[in-house]
Amino acid sequence: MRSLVVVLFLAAGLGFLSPARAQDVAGQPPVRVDSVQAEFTQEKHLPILVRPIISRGTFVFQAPASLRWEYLSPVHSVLLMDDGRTRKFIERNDQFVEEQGMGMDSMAIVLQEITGWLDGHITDTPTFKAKVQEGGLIVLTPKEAALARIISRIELRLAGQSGLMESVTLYEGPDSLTKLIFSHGVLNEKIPAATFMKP
Amino acid sequence: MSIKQRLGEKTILRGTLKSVLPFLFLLLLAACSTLQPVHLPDLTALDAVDDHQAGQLLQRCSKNFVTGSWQFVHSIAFKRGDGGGATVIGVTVLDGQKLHCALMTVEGLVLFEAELAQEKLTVSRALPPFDKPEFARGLIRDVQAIFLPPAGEEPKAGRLAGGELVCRYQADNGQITDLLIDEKGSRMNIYDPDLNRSRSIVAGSPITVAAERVPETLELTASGLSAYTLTMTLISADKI
Repeated sequence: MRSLVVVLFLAAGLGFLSPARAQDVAGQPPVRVDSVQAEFTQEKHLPILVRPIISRGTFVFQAPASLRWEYLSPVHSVLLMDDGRTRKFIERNDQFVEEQGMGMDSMAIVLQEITGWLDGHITDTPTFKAKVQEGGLIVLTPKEAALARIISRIELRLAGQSGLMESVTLYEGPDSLTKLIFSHGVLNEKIPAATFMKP
Repeated sequence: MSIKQRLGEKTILRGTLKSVLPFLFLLLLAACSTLQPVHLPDLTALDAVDDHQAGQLLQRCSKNFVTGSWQFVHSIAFKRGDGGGATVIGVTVLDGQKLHCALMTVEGLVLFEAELAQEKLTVSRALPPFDKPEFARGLIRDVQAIFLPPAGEEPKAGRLAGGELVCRYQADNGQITDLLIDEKGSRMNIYDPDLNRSRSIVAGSPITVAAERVPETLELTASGLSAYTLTMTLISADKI
C-alpha cells in the first residue's frame, strides 16, 4: 500500500511540482515554483468502460510541501498536506468526513518523495527514471519492479515555457490510464495558509 | 486510612455500582441484540387468495433487475462495523453472460478488477488490501446480489405478518431472498441456508434509463461478526 500511496501522490505532485525540474531536464533554464494553482479534468480510461469517467477539480500547491488536491465531481473529496501531515476528506451529506485507512499512515514517505522533487531534478528521483522526448514530453518509468506492477509509466507534457504542466498521463496497463489535463494555471501567487488546513 | 473511612468508600463504591449496573446491563443487552440473527419471517402465499395480485407482484419483482448489457459507475462508501472505511469508485459491467467489476480510488488508480464468467472468477488486478481471495469472493457475491435476480426457480408471491407483499426466491443451496417493492424503491433481505439474514439491500430513488428502472442509491448491509455497509450512489448508468 505504501507504493500505491506514493504513486497517487506522485501523480498529483507531478502536475505542479515538476515543471521547473522538467525544464531543467530539457536543458532549459528552470522556472522557480513557489506556488501553483490550477484546475484539472481527469479522464479515467479502462477497457471495460464504454466511455471514460470524467472527474474535475483543483490543485493548489505552496512550496515547500503544502498541497490541496480537491475533486469537485463526481465525488467531492479533498486531500490536504500541510506541515508534514496528510489528511483526506470526503463529502457526505453536505459535511466533510475525514477518511482513515487506504494507506493514509504512509504519508511521511509521500512527503519525502515530494520534497525530493523540490530539492532535486527529475532524473534524481529515487522512484522513477526520466527520459525527455520531443515536443515537451517527459516519460517516467518506475525503477522498482514492485511499483512497475502498479504503474507502467507516467507521461508529463509541458505547457511551453510557462513553468506549468499541460497534462499528466498515468499508465497502469496498455489500455488502462488516467489522464489529468490542467487549465487556468497560475504560478507564484500568494496562497492563504488556511487553504491547506481545512477542507 | 481508618476502618470507618474504608467502609465509607465501600459504601460509595457500592452505591455507584448500583446506579451504573442497570445501564451496563442495558448496554450489554443492546450490544447482544445487534448480534442477534434475524430469522426468515413466515410467508402467507398469495396464489390461493388472489392470483391476479400475485401475478402483478411477480411482474413488478422481475422488473426490479435490469436486462441486457449495462455499465454502472457508482461512488461506494464502505463502512466497517468498527467505524473504519473508505470511499472508492466502482464500475460494474453486466452482459448476461459475464459480470465484470473494478474498484478504483477517487484519484483513479485501479485497486481491484475481476470478471465472473460461467461461475469462474478471474481476478486481473488486486492491490493490497484488496488482494485476499475472500475479498474477491465477497465482492462478487455482493455485486451479484445487487444487480442480478436471485438464483433459483420462479419466486413465490406472498404476504408477511406485517402485511408487506413479498416475492420470495429460493436457491438450490437453500439461500432465500425476500424482495419487497414500493414506489420509493425496493428492499431485499437475503437469508443463508440456516435461515438467518446475512444481507439487506435497500435501493432508493429509482430513475428511468433506457426504459428500465435504475436506483440512484443503494445500501447493502452485511450482518454478522464482520458486519459492514456499502452505500452506493449512481454516477452513470449506460445500456450498452
